[in-house]
Amino acid sequence: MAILLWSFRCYRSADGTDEVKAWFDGGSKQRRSRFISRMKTLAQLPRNEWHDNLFKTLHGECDGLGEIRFEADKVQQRPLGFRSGNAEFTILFCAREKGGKFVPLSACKKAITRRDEVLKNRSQTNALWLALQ
Amino acid sequence: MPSGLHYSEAFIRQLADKEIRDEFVADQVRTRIALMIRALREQTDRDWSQKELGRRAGGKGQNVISRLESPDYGKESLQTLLEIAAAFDLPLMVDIPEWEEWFRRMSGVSKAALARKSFDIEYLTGQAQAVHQDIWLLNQPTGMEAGAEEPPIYHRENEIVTALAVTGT
Repeated sequence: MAILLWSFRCYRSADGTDEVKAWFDGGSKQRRSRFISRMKTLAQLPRNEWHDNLFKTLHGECDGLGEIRFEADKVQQRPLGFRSGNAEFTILFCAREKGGKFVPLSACKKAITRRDEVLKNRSQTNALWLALQ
Repeated sequence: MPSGLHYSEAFIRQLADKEIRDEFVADQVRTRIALMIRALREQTDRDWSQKELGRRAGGKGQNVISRLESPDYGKESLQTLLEIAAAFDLPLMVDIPEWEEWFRRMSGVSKAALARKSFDIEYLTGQAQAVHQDIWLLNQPTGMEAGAEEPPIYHRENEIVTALAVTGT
């Protein structure tokens, strides 16, 4: 059995909503299944094998964030997050990408605000609810 | 999860819906093909560029290999996969297994898990000889104590078949 090298966490808003699960539940079956698949794949790979096709480190105004990359419903899906521990990644905000820009345009700003909240208070995250194996 | 099992009950329950299941399989297969091509290309004893793999796979452009290494692509033909496998001097296997087998085979996508040896006649004939010797030993009730002679070692593939037939296995 493949060993899971990573654990994932998800941003939880002040009212207790798991924002990543809410995004997941509100998506199509294709988006849900592809998200499960990509998380399972990433969980098995060492960080140096999170290639650009699967994950990209962001720079500029998104510095400190990374995007999980996959296509579903003919839309580039971009869950944004950061490395919150040695083998832990926290997903903060689920954006899309169109024409080289995030939708919404404020995606990085929102994700960074959330990251700062999480860094102050880890209890604003939940463990990823999905079973990855 | 019991040792040796490649999935948990919770994981399987996530795939209860047929549409989710079909999409999951498609994405896992596409992702595995993409990661496998890249892993084989970058394997230490090859270390090929995308351009080099394209050249060896029947003169494909670097952009074609780049597409094949994208988990979101998934439109490669069987012929293309045969040509890519042949470029690595590896066979291709397409199967429709039962679920347990599929989970087992799909487990592990790291470079280490996807490393593969190209065709190597010395290695493969050596493996065949080792199997032949194991079979021969298993067929000896008391092994060397019975005064049996060492099994003959053959070097050509057709003779290995003959030797197996002679020992009645």
